[in-house]
Amino acid sequence: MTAITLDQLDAAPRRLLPVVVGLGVALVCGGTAVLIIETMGHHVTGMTSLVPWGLPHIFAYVLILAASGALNVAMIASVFRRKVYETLEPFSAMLAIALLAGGLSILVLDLGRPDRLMLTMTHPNPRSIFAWNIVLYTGFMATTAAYLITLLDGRFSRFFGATSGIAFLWRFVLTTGTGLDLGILVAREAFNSAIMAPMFISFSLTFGLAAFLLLLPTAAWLRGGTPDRAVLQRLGRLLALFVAVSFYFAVVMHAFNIYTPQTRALERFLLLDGGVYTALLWGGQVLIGTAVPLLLVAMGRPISAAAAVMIGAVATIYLYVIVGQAYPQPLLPGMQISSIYGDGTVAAYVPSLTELLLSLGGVAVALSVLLAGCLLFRIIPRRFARAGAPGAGLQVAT
Amino acid sequence: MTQGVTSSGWLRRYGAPLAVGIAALVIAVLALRLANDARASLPSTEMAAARGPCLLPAEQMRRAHMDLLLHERRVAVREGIRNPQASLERCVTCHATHDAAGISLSANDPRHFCRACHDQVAVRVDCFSCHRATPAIAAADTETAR
Amino acid sequence: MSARPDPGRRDALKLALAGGVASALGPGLFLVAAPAEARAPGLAASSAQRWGILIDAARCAEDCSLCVQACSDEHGWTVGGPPGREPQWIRTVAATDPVSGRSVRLPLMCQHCALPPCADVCPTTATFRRADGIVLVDRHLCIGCRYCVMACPFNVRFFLGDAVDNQRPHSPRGKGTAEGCTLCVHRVDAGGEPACVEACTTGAMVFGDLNDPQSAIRDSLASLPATRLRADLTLGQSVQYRGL
Repeated sequence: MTAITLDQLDAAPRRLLPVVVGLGVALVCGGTAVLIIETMGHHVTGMTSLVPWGLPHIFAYVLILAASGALNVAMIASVFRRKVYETLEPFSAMLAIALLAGGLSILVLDLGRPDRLMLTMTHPNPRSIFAWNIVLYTGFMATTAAYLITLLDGRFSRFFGATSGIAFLWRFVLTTGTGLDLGILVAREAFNSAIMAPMFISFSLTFGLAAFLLLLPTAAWLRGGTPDRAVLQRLGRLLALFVAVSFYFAVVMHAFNIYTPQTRALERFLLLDGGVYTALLWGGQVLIGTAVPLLLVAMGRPISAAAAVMIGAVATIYLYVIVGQAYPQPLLPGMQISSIYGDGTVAAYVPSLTELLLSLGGVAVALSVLLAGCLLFRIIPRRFARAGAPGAGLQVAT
Repeated sequence: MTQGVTSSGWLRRYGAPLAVGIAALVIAVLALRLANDARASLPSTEMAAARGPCLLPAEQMRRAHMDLLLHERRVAVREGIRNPQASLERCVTCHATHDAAGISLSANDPRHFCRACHDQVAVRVDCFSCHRATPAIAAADTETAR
Repeated sequence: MSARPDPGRRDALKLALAGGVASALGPGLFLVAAPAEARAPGLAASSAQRWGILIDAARCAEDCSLCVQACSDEHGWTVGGPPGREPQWIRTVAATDPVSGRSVRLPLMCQHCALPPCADVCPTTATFRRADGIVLVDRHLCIGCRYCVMACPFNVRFFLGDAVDNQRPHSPRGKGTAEGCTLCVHRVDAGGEPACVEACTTGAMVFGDLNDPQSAIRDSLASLPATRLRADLTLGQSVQYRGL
């Protein structure tokens, strides 16, 4: 039986200082952006009444999808009983909590009246998926934290089965809710579809695993070691599978929209005429988000593939969320409409610097929470169990 | 061998002093608050006594005005039951304060009726981010855009 | 066992009968009243009324924006500005048939849907549909998430991203909240009609109680066809159009 050792980050290795400084700068910039937006109003951003959700929401969606998918690595071991991944469970859970905290922080700080956030708890609308999302997101952090505690503290290990099961189910409900957030909007043809739910499940698996493949080696590098190449290769092949499934859902959605007369003009815009949006689709989602990662995994470079996936993730979510808002709504289908408000034309949206700083600040929140978790708790695996070792349970060396 | 959540045991070492410190801080703040109950020194504001009595006597109004506001706004907005006697517009009209030139002061000015007390007790007045804080003057206000 | 109902049950039956007669005759007692009656103070809005507007696009005059100007004066918003920046509670939209070249003009404001997507998605119930059909934003509860702005199929919900001052006393508006046409609820509750309808000089806009069979709007709807924008969405808008 191979003993599995998990480590904490040491208090002050030399590699840690630039990371802490970088995160601090990003947090301060993000905080400044929030202050500017809140005191001067959202008119300083690129978001308007025509395009009310912008870059911060893009990043928030990517972080939230990655959060629910990051937990998946732990679930492979916990729920699907693949023992070779057992050492990855604590880091995966911590990463899930950190990413969700980052995404949630962006959403909350971008509100027009963030001081009123408690109203979502005191006056919730049971028909609103947004209201349910608040419950689902905070509940996700709680269930994942409970799961993490059963992993780290032997006194609670008897709750391991229950917490892992609950976290696993909760994560699927959460991602389904996130997908339907957009999918139920009859106003937005670009994503008004039930396929948004399973597509977002697939996206979450992809983005989450990519985030894991980027951040675990980084944490190990900060610790002063390198993670097991073999396990990374296996996870890289899994990433390739998720990328392919995500691409499948995207192809199905586009094919359906092309076939349906109502959305054919929208598809033409997306695939051919959309300028920057067409570039984001072919260059971002298809090339960098799908083809390049598959190629890199085949070349045995899973971490680079993960980086490409994350870039493609931002491009993909940006594409769909922005086009869904900017594309003109058919007030009178078949007729050409115009007004001083820009009806009938594609609305302009240019992300502002404040939005970018807010978004990067949210990423910094996620990374800071992860860093804090690595410093406080023993979650970085030093060595992985060899595959097939019987009864290789989780033991924490003293 | 099982172990705690953290290997360094920082929670076990610093947990108790930390809890005591936070409790002491909370008690200190509360004590200062209670000691500083400066009800006697509330600023006086000019009253339009000729315009008639307020909904409640001043002392009751100080305690209860938020309850009245919360009730009225709910029934007015959500149910459509309008009570002009209890409208914010009427409050603002009677309690208008003016500067030396006779112009009504908006809520941005600390001499505004609501600001005078609220600044002292450090409770932010949120109403006037949306509601008009000065009496409407019939013709002039409807002509100017914001 | 007696064949007649006992006294208690008899009284209950009488009450039920009286109530049934009253509720059947009651609306008829108002047959001769004006379409919009001022509600007595202290009475809540109820589903007995359903306020709506009928717009005849054929009568909407070229280069006329009286309704837009009236709403802007009534509520204090600015007409124009870069698209999306300034809320345009009501705006005129020009529609052209690409095949025949025929063009039509119509004013567009909140459609006050019976099944409003904005009210469905609002996380705090700030956006809600009042019992008499008017869709409103309770700005006390609005957290400024803009989900309602995302959800509106007609782009008639707006987010106020700029500080406001000099608000009209009957129309509070504030930075960081969502807003839109209120069907001039303050006027309607006092027995009047919306500012836009009042300002229209060609009779293109008719306001009234859709539940009142004697109202002018019901007469008009019963005699000539009218349609709703995006009728395929089956939102049941209170604003209907003719001549499109």
